[in-house]
Amino acid sequence: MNNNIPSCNRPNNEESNKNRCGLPTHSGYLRLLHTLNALTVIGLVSSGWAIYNAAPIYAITFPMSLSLGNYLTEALRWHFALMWIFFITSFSFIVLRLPKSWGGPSLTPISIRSIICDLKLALQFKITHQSGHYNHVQRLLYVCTFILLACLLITGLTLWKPVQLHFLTHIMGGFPTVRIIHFWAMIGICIFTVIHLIMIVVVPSTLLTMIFGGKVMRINNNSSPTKRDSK
Amino acid sequence: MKHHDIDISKRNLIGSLAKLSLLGGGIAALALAPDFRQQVLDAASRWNDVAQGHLYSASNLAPTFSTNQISRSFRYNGFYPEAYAPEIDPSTWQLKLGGRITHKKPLTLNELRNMQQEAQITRLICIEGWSAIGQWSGVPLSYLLPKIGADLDNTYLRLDCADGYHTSIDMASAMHSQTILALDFLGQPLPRSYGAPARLRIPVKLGFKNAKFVTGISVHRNSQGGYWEDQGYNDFSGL
Repeated sequence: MNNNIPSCNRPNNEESNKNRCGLPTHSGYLRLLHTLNALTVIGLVSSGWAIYNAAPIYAITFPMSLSLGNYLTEALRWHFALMWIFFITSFSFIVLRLPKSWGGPSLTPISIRSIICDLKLALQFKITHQSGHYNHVQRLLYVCTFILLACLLITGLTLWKPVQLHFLTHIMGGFPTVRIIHFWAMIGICIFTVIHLIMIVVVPSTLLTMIFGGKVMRINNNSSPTKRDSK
Repeated sequence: MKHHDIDISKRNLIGSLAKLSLLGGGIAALALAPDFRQQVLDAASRWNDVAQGHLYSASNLAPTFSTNQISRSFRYNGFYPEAYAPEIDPSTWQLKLGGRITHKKPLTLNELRNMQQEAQITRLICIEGWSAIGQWSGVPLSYLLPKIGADLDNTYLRLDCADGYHTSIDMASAMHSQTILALDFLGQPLPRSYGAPARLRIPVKLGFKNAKFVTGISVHRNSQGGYWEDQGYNDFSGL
């Protein structure tokens, strides 16, 4: 095995993660929140496709067979029901995870230098994965996703109440523009989901820890990554 | 279960499996029991009515636009093709009044035209997602309803139309200052496709609540549903 596994040297970093040794990788509440959020996002995206199809913005439409509800009325009912769960779970996610990385691996600090370095490793398939620890590319991806969730939440709220929240409609450039932003944020969350699922295929143990929980193990030093981690 | 980088305790495993089966059971019930699914979605829709009632404020006005922002082509929309839109003789047309209204004498178009008129340039937003800016003018319901002695206390307005369409509006939204019984579109009497001779223009509601070809209004204790509402569209459908 190659002893010179490339790694992004970060002196004094990840103190917060070292202290989490023995703690759950993701707390029970965080895993529950993730499950509910994931299911509602899938439901909202697929019912949203049927709503989009009723008055397409672009020359493309989505297959109705993949939509939740299958026709406009039913899709709207799903969309307006699931939005409440999405509102609660996404808001909780953003408030709990973004500032203090509550209940799971730390999302901070992020440095551009480390992102570039980790990205190079990732593209060479040399990035290491340590349970309960995010590299800087992962951190960037999750922070971007929280921003997307916030964007979907605010634009969704504005599309639902464009008159009561007319100041939001106004600052985002009017109802049709809010609809376009909502659409592209949806595309963004779809792209994230695909990357997220590919990562599960690459490191399947993360799926188990997200469903069943797990403990943060001793963080390996950069000089001694295990065989599995170094693929 | 132990692996070099994951450590899942038996307690976690059993607890998670229990939660997973609960969740899976819930999803399976929604997928396989259509009646249960409809009950859940109905309950959610009723909750949406309540929530929207609380969010509604009479002081929130729909944004208004200038004449050069009016949409050049305003699409026809209805539950039947444009060619089937009813043709109504304005000289014999009457607005029938019913339900909890004191003065039930039908109103003619002339009588309505001689009442206070209000003009607005607002955006009509369809439940399908498209929207268009138009100019309408007509009699504000906040003027008409008290004048005919309508019961305004927590009641619902029902609108009946020449094409068999009907819809219901909560009284708070009906009494909103921008809600009008529109007689004109772009400064001209309403064209046939847009609901001649009278339609509801209510910018605080989705497009399908803006009933066209109105022939009668009545006031009721409870919501009377509507053509689309009875098929599952949300009853309140406020904006």
